[in-house]
Parts: sequence; structure tokens; C-alpha cells
Amino acid sequence: MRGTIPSSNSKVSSLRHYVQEARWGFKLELLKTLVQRELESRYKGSVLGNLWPLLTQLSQLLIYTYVFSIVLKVRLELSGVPANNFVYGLWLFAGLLPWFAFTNGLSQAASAVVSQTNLVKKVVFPLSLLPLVPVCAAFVESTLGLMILVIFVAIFTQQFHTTLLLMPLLCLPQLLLTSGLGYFAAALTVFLRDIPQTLNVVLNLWFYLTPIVYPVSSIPEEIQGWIFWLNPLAALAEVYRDAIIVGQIQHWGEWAIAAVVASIVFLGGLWSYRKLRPGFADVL
Amino acid sequence: MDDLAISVHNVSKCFRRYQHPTDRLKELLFPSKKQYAEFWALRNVSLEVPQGQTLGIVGRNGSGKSTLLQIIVGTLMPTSGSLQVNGRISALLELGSGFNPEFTGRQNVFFSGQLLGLTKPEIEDRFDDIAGFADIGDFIDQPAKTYSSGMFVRLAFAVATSVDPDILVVDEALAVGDEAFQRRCFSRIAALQSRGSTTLFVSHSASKVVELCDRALLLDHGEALLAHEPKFTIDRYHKLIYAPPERLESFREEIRNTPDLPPALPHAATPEPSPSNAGDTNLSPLDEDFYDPNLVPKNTISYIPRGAKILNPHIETPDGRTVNHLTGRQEYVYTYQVTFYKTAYRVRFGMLVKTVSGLELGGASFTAASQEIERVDPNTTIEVRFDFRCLLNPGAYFLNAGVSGTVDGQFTYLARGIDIAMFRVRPESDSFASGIVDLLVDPHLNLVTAESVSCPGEAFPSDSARVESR
Repeated sequence: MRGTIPSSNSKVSSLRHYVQEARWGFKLELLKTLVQRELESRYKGSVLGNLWPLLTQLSQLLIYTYVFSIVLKVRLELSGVPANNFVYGLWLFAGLLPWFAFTNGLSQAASAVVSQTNLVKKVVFPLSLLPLVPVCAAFVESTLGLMILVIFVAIFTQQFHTTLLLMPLLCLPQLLLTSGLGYFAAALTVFLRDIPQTLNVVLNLWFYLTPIVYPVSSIPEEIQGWIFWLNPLAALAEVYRDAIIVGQIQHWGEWAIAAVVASIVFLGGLWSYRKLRPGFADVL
Repeated sequence: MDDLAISVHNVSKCFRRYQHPTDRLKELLFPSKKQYAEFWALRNVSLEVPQGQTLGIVGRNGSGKSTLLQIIVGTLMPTSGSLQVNGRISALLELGSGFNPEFTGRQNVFFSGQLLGLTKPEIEDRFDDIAGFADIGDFIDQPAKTYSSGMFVRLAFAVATSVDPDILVVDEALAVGDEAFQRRCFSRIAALQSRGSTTLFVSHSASKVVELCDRALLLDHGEALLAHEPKFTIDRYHKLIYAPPERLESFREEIRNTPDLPPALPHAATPEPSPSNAGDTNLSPLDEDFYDPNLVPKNTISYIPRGAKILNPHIETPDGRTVNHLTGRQEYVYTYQVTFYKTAYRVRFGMLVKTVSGLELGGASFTAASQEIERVDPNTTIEVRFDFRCLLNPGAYFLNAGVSGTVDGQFTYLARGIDIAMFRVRPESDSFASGIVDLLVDPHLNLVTAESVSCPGEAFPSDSARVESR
């Protein structure tokens, strides 16, 4: 019998249906609580508590600035930006922000379902929220880094760009992509426990395939266009830099491509998650 | 039907057991090839629970009780069939399910409340009540990992019942709490019942099911065998537990063919005469004492006989009918025969009644001097009869028998059997008795001052206010 996944018969499990379809407000509120819990639990018991995410981001920014700007003295010419020793460090960090939010969110989302057996099996719970929690938590942490970066940019370049107001729009593809892959990885991990490890390797490769530590211009020209099609994160790194450091969005086209790709990934991830969800409680 | 809180139609649940996790993936990739062994936890279970009814679910371990509850609650999907659940459901499937051990009790209460659909202010309103009921004092602000299992379940139960659920599902979790807490739980469940909540209750405690439930469902091997009046179902259930393997199937068939009690609304269909009377007409054989050939001890320990043999230990009614399902407070005779094959002197006989856990409740032997028999010749058979009154509360009990005397110049047990027979005192649906021994307690009330008692009617009707203990 190939019937573990019941048809879309609305009578089947009307309660779960009820929770899932009808109560958006309830789910949003619950997601908020869950993200809060997630962030709280990360630093639970530590003395500095909620200062920690701020401190980690700050330390990373300081390390990059120190290593690349002071020790290695890498200089970067960017139009409209004073050629300053610190610019490369800031530029690098601006590209790393979406990357960190993406990898942290995704790798934790992969085990979001398997680590919450209780919520899957013992209580009625809108399971579609589970992979979103680490994704949102990582995103919240990265916004702290964004704030620090903005302050640093203001100090070192004496500039404050109005393009920052576009950030909520610009990071939309990032959220879609991370949640989409997060859904996919979370669902697959339930059946195949090797996913989180595999993901670590893949993400490592992916990092060096993305023009974050090096500028796009150092990639051979004929494949530059492909990079943006295949890798939404390349576009994200670019628009983050545009908005934070350059002050002018120069990559709208690439961003739009990333948005399309991310939306497709999101829908695909959500679809496969929903498809596999009825089997979660059986396997865990 | 709008009056139904839960209706389950032909629900089956099949678990697939894979040899190896990768088999599951192989199947996802190549769906045509079967890689699993099937295990049917539920088969075509249909069930209707009207609003306000309390349904007990009984069955052996592994009979599918928890699977059924999980499907009703919505954490498991049925393989086939459909179900409809009307109203807010609050489930206590396992100890503090959904509690995060790293967070404090307070945080967990808020989170669980939110899961159950309450808003923050609503939970704040109820918080004192929840904390008061759980009664864990300062621990409420400690991480839940520091709780004892009793504290855990107390808090979980307090939250689960605080949301005024339309449907309350209680698995065996409550067994963890101490007795005082269990009593508070049951009074809380009773309060919810009176407010019209529907309750599903899984328990191995027959007396609790009889006491709390309007109806009881018997599950066996994933099959709903019978849904009937609790005492009726429990009697069948006990019969099934002790059935020998070779006769199991015929028993199940017999129970399966017993017509179910229609899932009537509790107040409409069972009028004031208590439910046990309502079934009288068609359940007559089980409503009086009877003999169940399968209610026999599984671990009889017979000592190596030294000159005598105990035969045919059993209980009879005063009119000579052999029974092993007894009614409390009635007169019975425990009797056995002893055949001697050696000459024995100064022979005495004895008996003892024990609980399932081995507690010795009471016994007797023929007193030393006056009633012992001076000499018994070989090949004599003596019938021993102990008259007794069954002053025991519902439950299962074991019987011992022993013969002592002097053989070959040595005083010893000639024969002795531990747990040689057993009987069950049948549950009473209107019993208030607790404990093991029925002390013939007869509680009654006296009116002391008229002002302090608010009682409808002017006179205090002492007769009707008398609480019958049976």
C-alpha cells in the first residue's frame, strides 16, 4: 500500500488542518515565541547573555578589518568610496553577512525537525514552523552584525547611505532561499540522517564558489553571468555591499534573478516538506 | 452529526518497518519496489464519541491505544480512513510533552499555553491557577530539567486542563503522580466532565475506568473489539487477558460479535437507574458471579509433596456453584481436596488470600489442638472447606493452600501450593470504596448547625444524603 500520505481529503485530521490553514495570526505569534526561545536558549546560562550575538559579530568584523586592512594592507578601489585602509575589511564583512545568516540558518534548519521529536510526536504543533525558527534566529543575529557594520562604515568613511532603507526588500530573496533549502534539508534529514554532515561539506565548497572573499571581477568574464543565475548568494553579497558601502544599488538585475531563483527554491522546498511531513511522526 | 465530539471511520494505521534507514530512501527513489515489512497498529477502527461523554480505552500493551490517541489528537496520520474532531483538544500523551527542559516551568507554561491556542494575557490570567494546581512552589522558576517526574506531570496536567478543552485526552501519564495528586486530577476531570467536556481516558486501572467513564472501548491487536458500558467491557477485557493462547481467537470472535452499546449521549440514553442496570437484560450471564476457566494463575508454585496432594482448589457459592468472579460482601466457600498417600499424624489444613503484588491479606488454618486430625491413613481423601465472606474490594486475588502434619516422624508441610487458584472481585459501577479490604464502611452525615449547610429544601434528608459505600 502506498498510502502513508493521505489524500487531500479535508476530513483527515481536521484538527491539524485547522491549526495549519486557519490561524495565520496564531502561527506568526508562535513563530515569534519560538525564535525568541531559540535565541534565548543559545546564550542561556552565560553571564553576558543577549550581548553575545552582538559580541561575536563585532569580533568578526574587527578580525577581518585587522587582518586584511592592517596586516595584509589589501586595498580596494570602489567608486564613490574614499580609498581607505579599512574599506576592504568592511567590504568583506558586508558580503559575509548574508552568507553567515544563510549557512547558520540552513545548517541548523537541517536538524530542526529531528531535534524536536517531542513537538512532532507528542503535541499538536504546526510543523511548518520548525525549519523557519533557526532561519529567523540566524537572520536576527545577522541584523545585529548589520547594525555594527553600518556604524563602522559611518565612522571610517563618514558616509551614511539612504540605500540602507532598501535592506528589508533586498534581503527577501535571502530569507526565501534559506527557508526553502531549510525546509528541504529538514524534511530529508528525517529520513536520511547524513544530510547535516553532507551539508557542511557542500556549504564549504559553496563558500569558495561565491564571490565573497574575492570580487566578481576576478572571475573569468564568460562565466560571470552564470554565477548570478546559479548562485543567488553571489547577487546577495553584491547588493548588500551596494546598499551598505557603495550607497547605490548597481545590481538590480542580478538581484531580480536571485529573487526568482530563491522563490522557486522556496516553493520547491515547502512542497517537498509538506509532501514528506505526514511521515515524520512514523519515522522519528 | 453535530453532537459528536469525535468520529472515527475505518481508521487503519500501518507502520513500515525497514531493515535499514537507506531502504526507506531507496523506496522514495524507486517506489515500485517494496522495502519494508508492514505492521498494522490499527485496523479499521470506527468510533463515535458524543460530546460530553467520557470514554475509557482499555487493552493490553501494544494493542494500539496510544496510536489511536495520537491519530485522534492529530500527531499521527492514519494510513486510511477518516476522522472528524470537533473542538479544542488538549492532550496529555506523555509526561510534560512539549516542555523544554532548559526553560523554567513558567516559560514552559506560557509556551504550552500558546501551543494550545491561548494568548499571552489569557495565560497570565490563568497562571496563578496553574501554578497553584501544580503545587511545585519555587520550582516554577527553575529549569524544568530539575523537576522530579511527579512535578513534571503535575505542571503538564495543570496546563492541559487549564485551557477549558472541549476534548481532553489523558494517556496513562497520570500514574506517575502520587495518590493525593491523582485524586485532585480526577476531581478536575470530573469538573470538566460536568462542564460538558469530552474525555478520552486510557488506563490499566479497571476501577478507574469503571468509576470515571460512561463507556469503554476494548482494543486488541489494533482492532476495536467492543465499545460498551465500562463494567461490561472490563469483564471481557479481563477474560481476554487470561485467555490461553489457543483459545484467544475464539474469545476475540465472541467479543467481536457482541453488539456494541450505541454511542448514546450519556444523559439522554442512560437515565437515572445506574448504567449497570441499564444493561441487565442482555448481559445477564456476566452480571452475576460466574466461572471463567481461564482465570487461573500462571505461576503456581507447588512444593514437592511429602505424602499428600492438593486437588481441585476452587471457590463455590453456598449453593455449590463453582465461581471465580465474585461479588463483594457475599458468602463463599474455598474448598480443596487432599489425598494422602502416606500415613500422617496431627494433620492441619490452611489457606491464605494474597493480592496480586503478594501482600498477604488473611488466611486461616485449623487451630492446633482442637481441630487437627490425629492420624490419616494412606489413600484417604479429605475435602477441606473454608467458609468466608468476600470482604474485598474489586481486583484480582490469589489463593494458597497447605497441609501440614507429621510424616516419617518429622513435622513438615505435606503439600503446599502458592498461588494455586485465583479469583476476581467484580467491579461495582457505583462503588466509592478504596483500598483492598472492604471494611463495610457506612458513611453518613449528621446535620450540626442549620446555617452552615446550604442544602436545597429545608429539612436535611438524612437518608438520601447518605453516601453508600457500595
